Amino acid sequence: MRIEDADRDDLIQRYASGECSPEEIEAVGRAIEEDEAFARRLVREVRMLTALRSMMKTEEGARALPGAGRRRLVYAASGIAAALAAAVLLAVLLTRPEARLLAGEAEAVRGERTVRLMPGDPIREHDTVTAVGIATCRLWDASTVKLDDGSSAVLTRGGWSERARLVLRGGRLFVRVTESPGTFVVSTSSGDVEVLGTVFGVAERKGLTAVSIYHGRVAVRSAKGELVVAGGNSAQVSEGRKPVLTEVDPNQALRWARESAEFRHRALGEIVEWIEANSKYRIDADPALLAERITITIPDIVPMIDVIAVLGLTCDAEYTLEGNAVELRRGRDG
Amino acid sequence: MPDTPEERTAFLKEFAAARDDILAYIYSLVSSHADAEDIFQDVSVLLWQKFGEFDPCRDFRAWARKFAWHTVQNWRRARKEQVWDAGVIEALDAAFRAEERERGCLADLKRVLERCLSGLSGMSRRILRHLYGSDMTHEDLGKLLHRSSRGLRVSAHRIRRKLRECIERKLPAETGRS
Repeated sequence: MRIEDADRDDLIQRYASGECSPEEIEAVGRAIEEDEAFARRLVREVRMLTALRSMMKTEEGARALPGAGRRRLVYAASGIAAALAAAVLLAVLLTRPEARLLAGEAEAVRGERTVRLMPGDPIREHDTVTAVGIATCRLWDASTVKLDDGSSAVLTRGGWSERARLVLRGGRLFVRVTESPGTFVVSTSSGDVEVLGTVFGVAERKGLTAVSIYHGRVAVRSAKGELVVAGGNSAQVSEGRKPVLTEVDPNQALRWARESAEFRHRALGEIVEWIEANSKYRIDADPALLAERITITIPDIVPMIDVIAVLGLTCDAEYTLEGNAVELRRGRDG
Repeated sequence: MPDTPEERTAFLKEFAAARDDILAYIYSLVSSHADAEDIFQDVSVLLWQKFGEFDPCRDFRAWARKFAWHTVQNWRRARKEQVWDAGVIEALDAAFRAEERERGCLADLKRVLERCLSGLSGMSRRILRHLYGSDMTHEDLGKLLHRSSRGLRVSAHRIRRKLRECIERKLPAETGRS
């Protein structure tokens, strides 16, 4: 069977984009075997896309690496850096960010007391927080965690780092993890979910932990083994069993937590304020740019750095990132 | 497994040069870049373990493709998916060999691609960066831009076609191959 040129191109494009049905994938296999020109065209396409991804990831990584532009300077000045380290550490300790309840209501068991948390109230390390309705908390590392009604988690952090560590005591949660040093871990009775930079959800019920990932990757670990799960996939683990992939669609599993912030014809400055209130990023932009009115919908599942990137696209502005500081400037094409 | 420092150096040299080519081969078999990257991790370990059996007179890429093929077949079986038969591997292998012979390895392609990317508008390059550099889906990017995912797909399709045409023009001159 020889596939017509136009269909052949379309099939190759969709195959390379991962959009083919099982029947179409079978047809691709047959076409590779029977039509040399098809095989060459497919190979050419996947080689180009592999090269493109590799180059774009390098470019994106260089843009997003916190402090990348200054790294060489830091190495060169390592002597001075050593002398400054104590002062920096002191400054960090004095300005440790607080964890707070951002939205909704919750109860926190604090020692032998139970306190009612309202939006803006601080959350202390080792508090056991139970959501009353859906509650959203901002953690010490600026990651946000959304707890479903009745779900309960102990919030702690790892040693000197601000990296949050959650112990899920039942129910389900949805996390948007920020880029920060240290490892973000959610523990349950059946295992650990170690985050490798991502937006994901965890649910625990009767000793069974289900994990669904929107973006990035997580390592799901139990006493019996480890499984790295990529965005768009789900896995489950129960006590004494190896973690396994499941057929659960993350879009369905995390539907409860999804919400969008919508800004219609609003000043960029207003959107910047919203981003700053909901993330660790601090954004600097020209006054003319901040006054510009735009329309944008921000789905909850998108990492905030991607939201900033898309703001740049919408306003035709370039962004640069150093640590948590973002500079948004009118692009070359503007 | 490479036992001596010389063998380890030889492995790393071969592996570093062929890394992207092996990844492209796996990608051609599984249709999803994310899956290809996962499988590539397993193939890398396998290549390291089996490197003692590699004949330095042979082409490392062709040798690596055989392990990649078997790993993909096992991955497909584990997912209860249809596995392709030996005729497909032979045809695909022949296509990869012909491409590498006529158009060079992926490192050559990247050099040309870099020049082609510099000819794109800032907006086109940014769309590529978000779709391929940060793995945003067409749907997510479309929602944020208030453009339909279909419209964005068409834009991405046009940009890729532009790149393909540019590569066709520049690659023969760059690599000295026709």
